[in-house]
Amino acid sequence: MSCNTIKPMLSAFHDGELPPDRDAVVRDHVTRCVDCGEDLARIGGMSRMAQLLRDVETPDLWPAITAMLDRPPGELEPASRGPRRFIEPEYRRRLVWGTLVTAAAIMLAVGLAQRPNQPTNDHHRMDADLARFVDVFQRDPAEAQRTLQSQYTSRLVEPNSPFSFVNYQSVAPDQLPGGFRRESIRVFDMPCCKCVQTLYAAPGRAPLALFEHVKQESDWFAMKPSITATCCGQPVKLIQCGDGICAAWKGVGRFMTIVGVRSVEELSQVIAVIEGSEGHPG
Amino acid sequence: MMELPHDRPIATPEPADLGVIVEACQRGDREMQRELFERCREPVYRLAARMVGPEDAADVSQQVFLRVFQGLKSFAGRSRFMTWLYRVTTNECLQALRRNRRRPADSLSFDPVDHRQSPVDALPDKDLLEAALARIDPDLRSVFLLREVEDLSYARIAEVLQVAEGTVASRLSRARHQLQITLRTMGWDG
Repeated sequence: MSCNTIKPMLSAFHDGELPPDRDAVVRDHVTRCVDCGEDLARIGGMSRMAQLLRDVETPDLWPAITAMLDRPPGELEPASRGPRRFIEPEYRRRLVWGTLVTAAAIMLAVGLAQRPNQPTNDHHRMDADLARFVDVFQRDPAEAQRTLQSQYTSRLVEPNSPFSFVNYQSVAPDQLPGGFRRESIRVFDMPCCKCVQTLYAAPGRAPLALFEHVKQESDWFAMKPSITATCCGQPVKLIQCGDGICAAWKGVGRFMTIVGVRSVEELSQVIAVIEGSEGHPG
Repeated sequence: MMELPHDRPIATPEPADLGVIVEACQRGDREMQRELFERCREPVYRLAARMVGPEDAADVSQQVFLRVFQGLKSFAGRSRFMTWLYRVTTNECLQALRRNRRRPADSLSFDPVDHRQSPVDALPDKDLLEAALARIDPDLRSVFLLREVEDLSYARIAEVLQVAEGTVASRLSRARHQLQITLRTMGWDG
């Protein structure tokens, strides 16, 4: 039998999936044919490489899944919205920077487009409160925080505590780029869900506020103008707030919002650190 | 160098109690849903991560489990549960990839690569294969992963993808051929 006939069967031969008669023919051929023998060896090499793909770190998606299952029928979100990418790591950074620079240019050149979305009545107040928080946080963080704490029940929690009452572990890291260190973690009872807020402080800088929540029944900051850019391979909603930026994105198993970053470069670094820390208790 | 087929480990059989768990899930038992999730999260996420990339794998996995828990009531058990689960996962991955293709930004998904300057030689085999897999047709990628990573037989893959076994064999052969070409352009000397 010629090599042209044998070669298409090498894959199934490697897998032991050929009928016995063909298996015997191929087996006999590859013992005599160097070329086909080498092809078979390459298939074996790829097979051994593929075994390395078996190990994977699986994120705990259960909190997000139960949150979705608990929704009323018909309100389940589609799995993905916004651009999706499958990019090798070595090219991702170039793409991130390019996209963010473009986003910044758009924000500066043409301002921000109004979004048509309107919050539902149930969450209108929360959206308005958060929008106010973002605005005030830029010029008076302490006042913004005091107001938020007066509007919603909250409690301080210790870092690395089990967070049993929110059913997930915070992924907020101890530190963020720019010399920011975690100052406090507070859990708010919001209309959407229990929301973890982590405040960061750095010498000579206004603080940062990072929010984590697992439900998104309303679109946070729906009333504020925004644009969407891609950062670290995922869509990020950007809202210009005074001299700073507020950004919201969907992390692994939860929604993330950060308030107070000063530039898209800083935002890119912050998101990279936060997303890199997912799965590791903060 | 000649290499004869090695003895592959037999794929883990479906545990007997999985049927009991599935039945409990069909009745809406949340604890059993959690149990089913815990047992199945790894193969689902693993397949999703290799198919659509790590950024989207969580979203796709989440959607798979939603579809599974919502669809369990109509799961009649004609096929094995894991076969059905792999089918749902594969379909969700392919749908996610199709959605991506429709987005204008996707032209950036596969950035032009200058292989002469790319340090692929330094990449570990795992990363090299992942990069090569990302460059082949998703239908071929799924067959390769179901066989080589999930360790399914041709018959099981045919059930999962609802195609003939011969189609599985030809797709797998093409997948390996394309992978081999891609890996070589990336500096693989295997």
